Amino acid sequence: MECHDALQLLAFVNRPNEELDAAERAALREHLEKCPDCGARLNAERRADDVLAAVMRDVPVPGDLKAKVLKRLTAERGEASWRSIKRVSMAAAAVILIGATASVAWIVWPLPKITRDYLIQEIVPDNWSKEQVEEYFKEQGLLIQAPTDFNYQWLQQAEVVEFKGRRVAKLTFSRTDDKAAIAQVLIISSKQFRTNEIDSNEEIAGTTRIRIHHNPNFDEFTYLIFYRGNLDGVLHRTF
Amino acid sequence: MRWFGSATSSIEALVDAHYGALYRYAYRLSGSAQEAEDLTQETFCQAQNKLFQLRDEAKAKSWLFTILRNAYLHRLRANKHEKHVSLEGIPELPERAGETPPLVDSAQLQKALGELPELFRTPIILYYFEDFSYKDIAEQMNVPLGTVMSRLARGKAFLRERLLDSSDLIERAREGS
Repeated sequence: MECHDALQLLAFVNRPNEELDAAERAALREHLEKCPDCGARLNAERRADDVLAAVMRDVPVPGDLKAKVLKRLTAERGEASWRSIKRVSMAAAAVILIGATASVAWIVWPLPKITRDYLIQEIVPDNWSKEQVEEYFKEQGLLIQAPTDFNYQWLQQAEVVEFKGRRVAKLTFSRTDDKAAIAQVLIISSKQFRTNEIDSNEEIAGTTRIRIHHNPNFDEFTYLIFYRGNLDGVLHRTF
Repeated sequence: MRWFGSATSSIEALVDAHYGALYRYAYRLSGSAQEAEDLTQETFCQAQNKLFQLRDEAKAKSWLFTILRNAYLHRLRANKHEKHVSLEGIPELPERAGETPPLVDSAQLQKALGELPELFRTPIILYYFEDFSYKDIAEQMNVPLGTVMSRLARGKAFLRERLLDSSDLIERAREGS
């Protein structure tokens, strides 16, 4: 070991929490035994460090400091509690204000009414054709191709629903003479979902069957069909 | 997991264990008893508010020292009139092997510390003053270990040269010997 390397390691000798590994300690010890200059330097460093450390620590601490600190901490906690009370009070006032504002808003802008006529005209399709269904969803902001397999005479409902966080069109078909026969169709687009990764095999979930149809003319659209019961007549073709 | 019972008993335990060391650190950093007292109180107030951040009992002391230094630096930035000497030309390891160190006066040491830029002053104080490892000092100052070693070497060299070269100190050393 050269003197330069030894001097680097000397910085770690006699320091708390500092560790030289066994090889470094052995090499340094060996060097110090052979090199009186480094040995003298180490001793001088130690003496200087001892003196400076003793003086550095020679700072009298005021006798009342601890009491002062604790008193201030108690005062701060009191202020913090008061600040919390103020915050809670302000939050309560804000809630009351919001409530009052909502009441005024309700009077000025009342919640929308739902009339029987609206339900009949808008929600329950009356002999809608496939084109009328598509027009309805277009008005709702959804450009879709409705499935061709279904007999729209049995269409019971057309609505926009949320499916995996996206707005999609949903159709419900059922036969009036067989309440157990029902089919719900979600119309999803390849612009919204990875439709090409959907398995087309039929699945059975309890009494409900699930089929996946891809529109043969419009690649973009896929129909997720949930159905149960006998759908003869509802569909132009059998599953 | 918090290592004491309630938050109140936690902060009081921290005060009990560390207020003296923090005051001495603050005094050596600032050179003022009043400022040291203010910094100590401010440190514990901040610690009380941030107590949830302390996860490891073993790091409580380092954590408090870091808070204190940040509070000190904040004051320093708001009050930019400190004048420091340049450490250019001061070798890292002065050739003083075998020399007996003179008696050093606390006020004289404080004066010399005050002449050091804070970046050199802080590691020197932590090195001599508390049992922090180089790694602890590096973490507190958020600098690499090598930077701490280099600043320490130059800071120590400056202090020794300044204090050893003081004729007053040498005279007192002679009187004391």
